[in-house]
Amino acid sequence: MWLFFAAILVVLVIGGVYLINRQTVILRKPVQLAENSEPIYQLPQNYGKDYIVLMVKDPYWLHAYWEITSTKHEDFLETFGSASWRDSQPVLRVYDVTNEDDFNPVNAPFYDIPVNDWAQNWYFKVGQASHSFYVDLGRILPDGRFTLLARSNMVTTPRDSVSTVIDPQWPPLEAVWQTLNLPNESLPYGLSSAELVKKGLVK
Amino acid sequence: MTKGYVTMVLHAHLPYVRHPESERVLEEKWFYEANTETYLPLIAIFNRLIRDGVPFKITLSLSPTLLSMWQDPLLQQRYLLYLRNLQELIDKELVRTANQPHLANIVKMYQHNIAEAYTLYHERYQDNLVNAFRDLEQSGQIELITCGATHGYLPLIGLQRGVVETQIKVALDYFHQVFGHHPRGFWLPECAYNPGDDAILAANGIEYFFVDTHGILYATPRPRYSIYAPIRCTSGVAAFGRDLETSRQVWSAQEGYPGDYDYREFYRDIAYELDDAYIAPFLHVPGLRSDTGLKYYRITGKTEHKAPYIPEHGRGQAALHAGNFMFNRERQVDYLAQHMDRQPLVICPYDAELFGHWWFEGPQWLEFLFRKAAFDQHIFQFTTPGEYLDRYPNNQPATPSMSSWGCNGYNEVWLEGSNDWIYRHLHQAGDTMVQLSKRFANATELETRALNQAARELLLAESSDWAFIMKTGTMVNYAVRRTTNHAGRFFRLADQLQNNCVDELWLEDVEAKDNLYPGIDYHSFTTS
Repeated sequence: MWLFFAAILVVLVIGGVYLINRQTVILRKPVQLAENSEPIYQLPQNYGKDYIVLMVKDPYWLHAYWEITSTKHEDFLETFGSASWRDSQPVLRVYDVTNEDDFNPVNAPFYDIPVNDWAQNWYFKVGQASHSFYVDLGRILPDGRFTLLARSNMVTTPRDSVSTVIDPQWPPLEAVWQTLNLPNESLPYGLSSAELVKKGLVK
Repeated sequence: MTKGYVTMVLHAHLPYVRHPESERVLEEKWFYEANTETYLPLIAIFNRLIRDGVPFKITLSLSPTLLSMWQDPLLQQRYLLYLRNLQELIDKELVRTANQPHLANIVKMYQHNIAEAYTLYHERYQDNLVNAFRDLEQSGQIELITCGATHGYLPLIGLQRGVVETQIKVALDYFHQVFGHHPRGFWLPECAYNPGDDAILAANGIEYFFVDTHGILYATPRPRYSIYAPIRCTSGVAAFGRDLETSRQVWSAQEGYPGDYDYREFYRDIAYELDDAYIAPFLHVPGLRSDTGLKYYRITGKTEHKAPYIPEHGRGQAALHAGNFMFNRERQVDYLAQHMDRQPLVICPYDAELFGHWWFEGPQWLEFLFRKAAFDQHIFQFTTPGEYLDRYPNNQPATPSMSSWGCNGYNEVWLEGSNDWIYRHLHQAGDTMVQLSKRFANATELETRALNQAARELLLAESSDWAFIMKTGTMVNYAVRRTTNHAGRFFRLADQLQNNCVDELWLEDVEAKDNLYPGIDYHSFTTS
């Protein structure tokens, strides 16, 4: 993979005309700009929105990132009291909506993962391949009530094994499947070229 | 009689690295090195095979960013300078090694290789390798396809459908602009498949894509032919799975070819071995030792003491390994054909850059393989996925599993502690871009330029390469800066558009810097 072509980053700015031994070549000059036309970019810490986004890492792990605005925070305090934020526990309420037709959280089984007030993202294990989930970010008040702050998109974890569903018109050919010699039905993942270079298998 | 087929697929990709502000940016050398060591040697062998009437077939995925760099006048000019500089170093090395015949012999090999590269690049293809692939495609032996516009990792960036659509549409439009037709197939960057993305491919006329082995093995329902025939997604697009046995035989630690002791050692470049004064004029970045491409030793063994490379021996091993690969495919296809009610297909996809750059003898191996397979056996033929679909248009309906060819088979390489921070910004930018494309359905000329540039910046920020570099831990600063700069430019453009104050002078500067896809149309973010 191209990524390994070089080892260290160095950038030196040189403009204008370049002389090369074999032939003189004049390179085009960079566009002339007023000073400070390109700032040193810094991406914002926050976007001023209340949201939580759910992503799939692998068949067993999900990743969520979120943002809660100060407005939302203040609304919460106004509703539940000045100590309510401090006294409540932020959680990710994970809904397994695999068997839900309309993703209605009332019917879906769920469990809570405690997080903290400093985190803006979290990896968590759902341990269920080929299941569908979404997450509510909320807070559990001292009296046990759950208050929703933001609801995520829905994701589905990938399969981690051969399907048991058989199409009768296309029954699997066992002799062909046997050629794979799958150790315990699992595969030696990560045979991409880049991975092999990294592991030193490709010199 | 032919009992089955083998498909070789090479995926050629580099991220868009072009720095008009300086000719001394180290990362630009990725492009020059890959041209010299991979793309030109591959072009040379394909030309020889065609000239000699060898009935080979290969599928080449050419990424839109790579196509853009090949077409860029500044990079074309700089690459010529790079080649001339290398030729000058070789001239000097011929003098220095004149009394060391075992080294001089290797220098002469490089002299020949670079002269061939120069002639092909400058004289035959007028400094534009797109011309080479246009010619090669005319032979009918090479099937060209492409991948996402900037190699975006679709399962992770695709929170908005318009983002995935744009990665696909921009790539296909650019491919059409370059080659005059649409490709039949599509290489999903990192073989990363997200169920449902195939519908976007189908809507854009794509007939097939590739997934890693488990993408097919874990498909639902269970595929009849395992990975030895494509399956058909509900969208109608065919999915081809990577052969496991081939991956193991070529690349595994125990049986793999590229680690052979007679092959050239990658890590012993003269850049790190010669005096400062001697090597300084030939370093890409003054004062920083980085590979020249001249490497004189063979792998030798698990030792630091490396013996000089002997090109004839390396070539001999490449021939032996090609014979071994062919023999194994014969046995594999022969067995499969006995148990299948159609001719089996073995899919062998690789990163193109492994051939020549990492595995110096890789292009020779490929040439030997095609020649031997054409004349020394009758069990299998090489084919392309397009040809196989023409032969077998009726394939099993099934949905591939979400998968990639990265470590552990799913998304974790591109979503972990080092790189997860980027998605907040990429998703936010994607959402903003979709909103802008709706709001500015009818834009002024200046707004249109700003919107199209915003689309370019978003695409560039989405390159999977940046997340991968952050994960691997080398060149991280560059990857972070590229992500930050492109996303930063995007948000600045969005802000100016929203406040009706587009800075035309600055826009012109950014258009000149990030100048790819001149025909881009931001409306593609408005999903159909």
